[in-house]
Amino acid sequence: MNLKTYLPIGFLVLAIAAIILPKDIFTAVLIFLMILSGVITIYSNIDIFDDDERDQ
Amino acid sequence: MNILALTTSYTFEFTFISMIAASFYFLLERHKLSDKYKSISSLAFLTTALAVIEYYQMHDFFDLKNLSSPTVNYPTEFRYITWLIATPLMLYIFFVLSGFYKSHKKTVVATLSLNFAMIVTGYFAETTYSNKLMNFNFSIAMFAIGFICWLGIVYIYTKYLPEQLELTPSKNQKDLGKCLNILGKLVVFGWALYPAGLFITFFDPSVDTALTRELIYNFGDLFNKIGFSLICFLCAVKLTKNEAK
Repeated sequence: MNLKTYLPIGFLVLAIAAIILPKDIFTAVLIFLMILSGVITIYSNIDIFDDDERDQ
Repeated sequence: MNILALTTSYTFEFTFISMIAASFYFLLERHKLSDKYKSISSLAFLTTALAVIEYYQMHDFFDLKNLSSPTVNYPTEFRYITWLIATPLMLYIFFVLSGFYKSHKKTVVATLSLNFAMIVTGYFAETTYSNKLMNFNFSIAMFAIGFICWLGIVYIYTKYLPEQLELTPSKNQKDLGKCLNILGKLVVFGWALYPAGLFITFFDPSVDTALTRELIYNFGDLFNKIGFSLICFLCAVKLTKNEAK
């Protein structure tokens, strides 16, 4: 299992943590990491339909 | 200056502009699809374009003056109207992509019914709690029904549809399987934001928590709507290429 597998879970966990935990600068860090994991999740998946050579 | 209100206002603008960009993308890239898959572009466009209209309507709620006031008005009704229209479209895209909309009509009806029940009960849960219209147990019961409906959609997208895909071999099976795998993750982890956000505000009704929830919802909408439509659109492009081979 690589890091990519955990990104969607990380997205959800970070979002919930940002809502629950006290609102301070740490909230901004959590939200930043949440956005980052969401972007990487989508970005790392949009090229999977053009990987014929890799599949071969 | 209230930094949280300011950030929430900016993230709203960000999501709004991203939805407009995505809508243009699905229209401008439509030529990459064969006639068989052009409807995927239409559905993806409708998903994001409807969100653009609703986000435009929500503009006043994300005004800094409203977000900074001690009695903040939340765009709850607008959000639920958007979800009521956009989510069935999103869920239906895969059925069109895979051709299951013809062969699995009962599954389509079950999925869309579960989705409708999930949003309506979610709305009752949220609005009865925040406006003190019913007792707390009623809101929790509505939330529980909505949550079970969501679990039903998760089952269909992560278990039932992959099994059905295995049973119907075709040259597109592999690509549809990849697409379904990502859509399943979005339905599980992306959509879970909404019940989680609602459940937390049952026990923490503070303005800061509600503002953070709105901020997270903005990004949730962004990733779910654009992500869902984009993955289906790119899969349709790949299926069009497969047709040409």
